[in-house]
Amino acid sequence: MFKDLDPLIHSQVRLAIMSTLMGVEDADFLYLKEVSKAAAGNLSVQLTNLSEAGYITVKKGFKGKRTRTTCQITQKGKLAFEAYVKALKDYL
Amino acid sequence: MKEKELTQQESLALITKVIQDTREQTERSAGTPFLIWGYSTAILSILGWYLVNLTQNGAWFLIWFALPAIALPFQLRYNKQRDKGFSTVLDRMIGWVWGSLGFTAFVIASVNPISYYLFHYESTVVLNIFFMMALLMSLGTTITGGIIKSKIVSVAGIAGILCSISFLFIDGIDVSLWFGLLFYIMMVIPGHLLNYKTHKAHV
Repeated sequence: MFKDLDPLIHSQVRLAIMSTLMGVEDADFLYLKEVSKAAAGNLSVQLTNLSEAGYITVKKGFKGKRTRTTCQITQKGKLAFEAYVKALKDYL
Repeated sequence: MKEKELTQQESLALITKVIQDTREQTERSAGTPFLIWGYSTAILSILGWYLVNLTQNGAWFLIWFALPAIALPFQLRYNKQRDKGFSTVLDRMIGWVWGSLGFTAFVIASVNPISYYLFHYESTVVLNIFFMMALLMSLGTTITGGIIKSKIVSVAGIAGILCSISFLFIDGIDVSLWFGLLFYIMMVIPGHLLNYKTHKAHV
C-alpha cells in the first residue's frame, strides 16, 4: 500500500527548498530563490510554512551591512523528506 | 496563486536537478585555492633561493613569513567571489583541515626564528622546516582529495608525502628550489586539472 505524499513537501517551491537544504548545511534566501525560481514574496510564504511545520529553521542575520536570511533543515525535516522520497519511489 | 501540481516523475526530476545544481556550484573553481597557495609557495621558493644565493645570507629564508601576506588576500577575494549562497559540511571540513594545518605550520616555522633572532637562544632540536612543511601540506592535500573525492588531488597528496621524505636527505640552499617544485607538482598541476575538469563538465 502506498503512503500519502506529504502535502507540505509536495509542491514545486517547497520541494526545491527541501531538496536544496538536504544537501547543504545552510542556504541563504537568494540562493533558494534562484533554485526554486519563486518570487520573493512566494518564497517567504513557503519558508514560513516549512518553518511552522518544524521542517526548517530560518535565521535572520547580517553579512557585512546587508541582512541575510539563512535556512537550515531540521532533524524532523530530514525524516519527513526521506519519508517523502521513499513514498515517491513506492509510487513509481 | 495556485501552485502547479507535481506528478511523481516531476518531483523526482526536480529533486535530482536541485541536487545536481548544488553539486555543480560546489565543484566550480574548486581548484583555485590550490593554485593560489601552490603558485605563491613556488614563487617564494625561487625568490628565497635567489636572494640567499645573491647575498649569501640565510636570513632571507625568513621571506617565507610573507606567504600568508601574499596568498591570503587572493584567498579572501576568491572566497568572496565564490560565495555560493550556501555552505556544506565539506566546506567546513576543508576549512578546518587547512586552518589547523596552516596554524600548525606557522607555529612550527616560527619556533626557530623567534627563539634565535628575538631571544638569541637556539633550540636544542633543529627542526627540518622544509621536511615538516612539505609533510603537513601534503597531508592537507591528501585529506582534501579524499573529502572532495578527487583522485588527482589525492594522488598528488600521497606523492607529496612520499617526496617530503627526500627533504631529510637534501642539504644546502637548493632545497628551496626542490620545495618549490614539489608545490608546483602537488598543488599547481592538480589545481589546474581540477578547474579544467569541472569547467569541461559544466560547459
